[in-house]
Amino acid sequence: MAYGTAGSLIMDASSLVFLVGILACTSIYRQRGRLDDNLYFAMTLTVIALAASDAAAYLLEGRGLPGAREVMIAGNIVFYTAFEVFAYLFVLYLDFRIHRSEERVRARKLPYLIPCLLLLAVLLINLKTGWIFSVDEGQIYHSGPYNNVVFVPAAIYFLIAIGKIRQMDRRLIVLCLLAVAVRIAMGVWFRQISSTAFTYTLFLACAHIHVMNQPLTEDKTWA
Amino acid sequence: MGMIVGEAIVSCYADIASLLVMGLLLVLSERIRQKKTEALQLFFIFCCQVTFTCLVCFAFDAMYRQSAPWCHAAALIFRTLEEYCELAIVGLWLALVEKKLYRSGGRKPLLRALRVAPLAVFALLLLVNLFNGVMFTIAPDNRIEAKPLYYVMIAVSYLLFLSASLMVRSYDRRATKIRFFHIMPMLVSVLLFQLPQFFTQYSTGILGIAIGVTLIYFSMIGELRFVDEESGLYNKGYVVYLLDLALVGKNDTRSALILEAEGDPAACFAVLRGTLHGEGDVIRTEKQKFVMFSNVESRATMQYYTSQADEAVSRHNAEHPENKIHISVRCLMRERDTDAVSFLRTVMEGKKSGDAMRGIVSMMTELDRLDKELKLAADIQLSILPMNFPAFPDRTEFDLYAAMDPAREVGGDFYDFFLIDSDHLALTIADVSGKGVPAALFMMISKALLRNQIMAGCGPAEALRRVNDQLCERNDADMFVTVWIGVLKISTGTLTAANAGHEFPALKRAGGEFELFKDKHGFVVGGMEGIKFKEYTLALEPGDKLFVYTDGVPEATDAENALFGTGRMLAALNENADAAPREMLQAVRRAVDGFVKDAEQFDDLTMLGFAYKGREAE
Repeated sequence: MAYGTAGSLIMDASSLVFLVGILACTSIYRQRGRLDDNLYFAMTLTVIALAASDAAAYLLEGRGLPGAREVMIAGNIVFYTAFEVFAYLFVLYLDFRIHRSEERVRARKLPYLIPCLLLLAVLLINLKTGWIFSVDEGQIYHSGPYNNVVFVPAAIYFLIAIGKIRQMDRRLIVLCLLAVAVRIAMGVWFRQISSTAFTYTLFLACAHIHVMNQPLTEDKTWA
Repeated sequence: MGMIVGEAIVSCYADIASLLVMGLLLVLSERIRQKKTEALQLFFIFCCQVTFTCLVCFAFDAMYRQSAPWCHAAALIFRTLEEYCELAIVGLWLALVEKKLYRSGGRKPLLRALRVAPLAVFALLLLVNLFNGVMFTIAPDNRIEAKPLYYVMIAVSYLLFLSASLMVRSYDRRATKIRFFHIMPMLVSVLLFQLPQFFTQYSTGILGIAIGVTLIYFSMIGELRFVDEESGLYNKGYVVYLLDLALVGKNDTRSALILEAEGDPAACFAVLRGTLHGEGDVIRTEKQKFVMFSNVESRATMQYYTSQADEAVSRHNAEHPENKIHISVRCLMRERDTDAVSFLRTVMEGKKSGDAMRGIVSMMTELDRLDKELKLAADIQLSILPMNFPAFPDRTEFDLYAAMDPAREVGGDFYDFFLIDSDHLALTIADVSGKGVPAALFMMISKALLRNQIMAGCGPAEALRRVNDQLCERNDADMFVTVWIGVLKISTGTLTAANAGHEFPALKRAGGEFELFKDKHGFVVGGMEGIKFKEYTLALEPGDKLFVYTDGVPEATDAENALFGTGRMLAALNENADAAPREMLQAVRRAVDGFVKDAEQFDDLTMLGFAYKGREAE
């Protein structure tokens, strides 16, 4: 197995382990059922879908298994869609955490969804044109000429998100920019290894750690 | 130094990812770190150790196939440092689990020494290895070449790491689940990420440790916190943990109660918390489910909680009619009650297993049975009070009427009247301390004893003295009863009475108004052995009326906690001064009801009205 494939699989597998752990540890929030809790749950599921589809695509690439090409195409569509949906949900999540207004989020959820829907349309068109990606008969993935287009909506979402984080906690913005810089550096340095799922998982972990980072008023367990 | 190549890229990538995870955890948890408990500090030392190990791992992995002459020596040093770090991780992990479990720093020093000894031996061997390669050497491509002793060290380290689960089990077999849940993410994550290392050259172990540590952080810090400060929504795991601690007697919890609420959860939480007055804690585990932990004695827990919660809910509903709530008891755990704890845990964990359902059915059946028994007890209690009126239809010299309305199913008040002989009528009204079943039992005994003494020919004071001594003989519950008792010579209207700490009777002379008759108060009955009571006589004339009552009447409260008071009671009596005793009592009852309105009745309400008509009526 090529080291790029191995590295990607390791990162996807570690993301999945991490995400399952996050799901188990945040069950109490789902019981509370506030809008941000539901959005967090949706983000976790989105990243699970992203990691699983990414892992499936890497695992099947060039194996010569029957039906693998179709699964790879479906996996990549799920991957790119989840890539945008996560960013979309993250923006809504931050919006609610800052303003604590369900009405405000409700009013914004459709306009914010437009880039996602546009990308989905492009992905469907891609099935015919191969502008974004294609999988050949040998079950090998190829980037299309407009592959970078998929990153545009996500970039828009993350610019909005960074603006929102700045309103929430100025210190966080430094950390966020640092994380983005490290992610880009890793992408450049280790071009062959896909770490999108792991990066998103780290976003989720950070969001949860930040929520829990309050002064403890009652400390019975650690006494 | 050249570019990192091949497998090293994956390993370095995993190391950087681990470093990111640990770095973010440490940076974003600064408020939690301010809590300077020993165990929490140990946890963050553990985190720092893991972070440092990530750096060392990265340094070693980056040396792979590097041709610079110093890289070989650096690889040996980094690898040795990495092994030291991993031994330190195992040692700190054991210390952390031990601290988390025992809370006092460890109770089994010998076991601890046995666990630490191999780590110390391997630490020495690693030092020796730097000079003679007894454990491993570094190959020309800067990869590790392990010797058998190295594998022994790895095996022992894993065994020690896994022994945490055995430590959990040794702590308390009944209390293992939640602790095992806490260490599970670490165990699963570490073992899962060690696998690629056995079959490939990819080094992913540290990534597993970093993810495991973060999940432990989520699990353990999450359990400490009120997730929702307003409504008190808490982690179920924490509740189970508290139950475990209660089971093994490691916290102040003596009892726990699951309550189901209807209405605004935040209001329910506030009301429940207010009822405990600092004697326990309330935790919200689900949208409409709460658990009350209390350090109150378990003996009377059901009664205590039920009354406290009921009263608080009534007060809340009276104050906030637009935001009414309702709280009902689901089940109760008493101190060290293993079955109840395991049942509660099953309920808390939301399992729908057959056992849990059987447990629920059994618990609900038990509550139903208690309800039925209480209703039966109420019937029995009422049946021993004279309730047929007119009580003496062939006696025209007097008229009387009495009523008791208990605040709960059974009450502690009682009244009694009976003819001792054809010319003597005994009247009694009494109020037992406390409420509910204990008060009802005490009331039954007191009533029987008083009647026996009066029927045996004792005067009121002597009857009270004897009953007092009898009650004091075996009064482990330290209960007492206030009594007003009178014996009327019907032919003359002479009333001989004694008052043992009871409310002043209200007396109305013919043509006059009801007034409090401030008689001589004695000590309560059942309070102290050897007490003597004083009696007094009253000459009743035809047309005179007497009204005796328990404190439930003047102390009835409205929604603003204002007392009904004796003034309103006398006013109600005087408005119906010429009425027969039945109407007189009904008028007082109406006045009380009109005053308290929707506020709940907290005390039993008992009254006895007597009108003397004398021989003239014949």
